[in-house]
Amino acid sequence: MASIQDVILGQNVIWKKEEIEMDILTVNNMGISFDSRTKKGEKVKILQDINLSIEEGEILALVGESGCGKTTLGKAMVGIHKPTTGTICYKGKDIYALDKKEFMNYRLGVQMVHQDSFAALNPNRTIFQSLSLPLLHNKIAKNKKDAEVILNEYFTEVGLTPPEQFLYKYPHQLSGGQRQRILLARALSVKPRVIVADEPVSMVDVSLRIALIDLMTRMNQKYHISFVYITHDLATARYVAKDGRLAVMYLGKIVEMNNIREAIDNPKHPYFQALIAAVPSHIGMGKSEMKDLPLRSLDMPSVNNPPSGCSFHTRCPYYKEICMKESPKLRDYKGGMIACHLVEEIEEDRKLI
Amino acid sequence: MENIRDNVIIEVKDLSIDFKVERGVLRACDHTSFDIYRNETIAIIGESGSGKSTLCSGILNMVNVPGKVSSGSVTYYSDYQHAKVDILKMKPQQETEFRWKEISTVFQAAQNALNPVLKIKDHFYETILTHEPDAKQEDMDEKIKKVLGYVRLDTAVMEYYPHHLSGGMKQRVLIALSLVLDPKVIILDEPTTALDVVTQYYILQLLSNIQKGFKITMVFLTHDIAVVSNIADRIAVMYGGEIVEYGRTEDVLGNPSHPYTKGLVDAIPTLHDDVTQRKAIHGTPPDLTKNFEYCKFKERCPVYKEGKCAADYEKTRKMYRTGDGKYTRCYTWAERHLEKGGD
Repeated sequence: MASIQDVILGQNVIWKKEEIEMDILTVNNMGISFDSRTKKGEKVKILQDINLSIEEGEILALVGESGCGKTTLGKAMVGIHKPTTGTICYKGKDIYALDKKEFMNYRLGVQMVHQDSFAALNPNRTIFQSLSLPLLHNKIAKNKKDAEVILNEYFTEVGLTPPEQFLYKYPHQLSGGQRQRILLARALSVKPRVIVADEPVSMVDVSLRIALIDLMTRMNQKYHISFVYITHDLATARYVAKDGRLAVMYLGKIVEMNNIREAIDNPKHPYFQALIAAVPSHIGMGKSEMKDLPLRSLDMPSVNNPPSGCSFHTRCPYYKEICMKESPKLRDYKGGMIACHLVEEIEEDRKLI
Repeated sequence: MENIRDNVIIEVKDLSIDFKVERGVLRACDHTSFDIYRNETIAIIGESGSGKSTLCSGILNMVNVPGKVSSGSVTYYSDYQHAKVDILKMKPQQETEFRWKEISTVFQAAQNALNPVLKIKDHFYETILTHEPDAKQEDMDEKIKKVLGYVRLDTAVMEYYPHHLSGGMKQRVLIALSLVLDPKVIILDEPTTALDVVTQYYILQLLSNIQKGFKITMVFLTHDIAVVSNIADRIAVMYGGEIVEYGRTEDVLGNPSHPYTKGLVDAIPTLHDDVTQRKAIHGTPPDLTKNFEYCKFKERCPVYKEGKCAADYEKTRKMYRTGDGKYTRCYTWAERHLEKGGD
C-alpha cells in the first residue's frame, strides 16, 4: 500500500515530471447523443463539439442553465456516459482504449462528488461500510483496521472531527453539510488526480457553503488535485475557481471560455452577458428597479428540436441573418474563446452605451 | 406611532409553535412577535430549520399534528376600519372563506404543488368554485386568462397537464393561482429555489411588478439574501425559531446589528466582491429540543468567542431598538450602539 503519509504531506509529494507537463484529462471533439424518448429510432444530441483540457491542479468552473448538458459532460468525464463521437483522454490515452489495469487506474484517478448527498450514500449502510468498500476493493487498505486509519485521517482533513462520531452513523443521522463533507472525503480517499464536483453546495445552507468551498480550494492546493466544478451559481463559481478558468455552456455547446475574472468582469457572449445580469448583486443597497434582461425570450429551446444556425439566436437580442444559418465555431478572441459571429460588433455596441 | 398601527395588516404576537418529537418538545417558533404592514414586501430569511416555514404555517393557521400552537395570537386587520380577525381562533367554515381570498400562498417546490392528473385550468376552477360556487364558466375562464397574462403565460397552458410545463412555468402557474381571488396578502415560500438564475430573475421581476401594480402585501420566505435584497422593503432574520433582527432591508444588510446577520452577509459570495473577504459562519444551528440557558447563537458567535459577551439568555428574551424601525435581539450590539450615541 502506498503510504497515505506522502499524500498527506501534500506539497512534498514529487510527481513524475512528464505528468506535470501533460493535461491530465482532455475532451476532444466530443459529442453525446441519447435515444429520443418520444420518437423511436431518433437521436437527441445532448453535447456537441466539446473540446476541453484540464491541467494538473487547475480548477475549471462549468456553468450554464439546467438542461444545457453540464452534468452529462461531467458524467462523461468520469466514464459514466460513453461519447458518441470524439474521445476523452486520461493522461493522453483514450479511456475506452485502455487495458483493464490502466482503466482501473483512470477510474480511481477521476472521482465525482454528487449534488444530492443523501442519494449518493446507501441509506442501509453506515458511513464506514460505504466508504471502506472502495479502499478494500482497490487494495488501498489491507484490512478494515487499515481502512479505518485512512478514513480517520481524511475525516479530520475535511473537518469531521472526531471521526469516530461520523464513521459509524447512517446517512440520515447526519446533516446535509456533513454528508457533503463525507462525499468529498470519499472522493479524496482513493487519491484522485481530478475531482468532478456536480453542484456540490447547491443543497447546503448559505451559511455553510463558503466553508465547503474553502475546503475544496484547500484540497486543490494541498494535494494538487484538479477540480471540475459544475454549477449554475456564478457567484460560487467565481469563488471556487479564483484563479481558474470558466466555461459557459448553452444547449450542449461551450459558448465562452476564459480566465474566470476576465470572463465575469467582461462577459463577451450575449448569453453570458444575460446570465451575469440575472445574478442578484448589490446586497444591502435596498430596493431597486429590476431592469429587463437582455434576452428575447425566457425559455430555453428544447434539445429535441434545437434552433438552426447559432442555437442562441432565438433568444439573442443582437441576432442577424447569419446567426440563423451558420453555427458559430468556438474561436480565439482576446485571450479567451467565444462562439459568436457578432462578438466584435457586440463589444463595440456595448462600449457606446 | 398611530399611522403605522393603522397600516398593520397582520400582527403576530408572542407566537410559539411546538412539535412533539421523540427527544421531547421542539419549539420551532419561540415567542415570535412582529407586524406585517399593508402593501409592503417583507422577507423572512433564515437557514433551513430556523422556523420560517413553521412561522408561516402559524400565520395561516395550518399547523398540523404533531405541531401545536402553544401561545400567542395572529391578528388580521381586514381593512382600514380596524375590523380584525383572530386567525388562530377561526371556525373551519370561516377559514375556508378566508384562505386564498384574503391570504394566499405560493408553496415551496412548485414541481410537487400541482396535481399531476388535473389540467392546469382545473386547478383554477377548483379554487374559484370553493369560494364562489355559482361562478359562471365564462367568467372563470376570463379571470384565469387575466391572471395567466399577469405572469406572462400563454392561455394555451390552461389545457396542459403539469408535466407539460417546465419548472419556471409551473412556478408561474402557482403565482397566477395565488392571484386568482385577488388576495390582500401573498406568502411565498422559497419561490425561486430550484430555478435557474435567468428564470429566477424573471420571476422576481414579475412579482415586484405585481406587488406594485396591485398593492398586494408580499411575504417572502427564503434562505437566500441575495435574492430578496433587491425587492424587499423590510427583512426579518430568523435563527433558532426566533426573529433575531428586523428592519428596513438596506439598514439590516448594510449595517447589521446582530452577529448572525453580519455572518450571513459576510458568507455570501457575490459577483464583484473581493473573494478573500468571504467567510463562513462556523458551527451548526442549535438543537431546538433542549432548554436554552444561554443565547441561542452562543456557540457560533464571534463576539462571545472574543469574550465580549456573557450570552445571557434572559437578556435575549426581548428585542432592542438600534435605529428607525430596526430591532435586534443581541443586547451586546444594542449596548454598543447606544454607547456610540445612536438614535
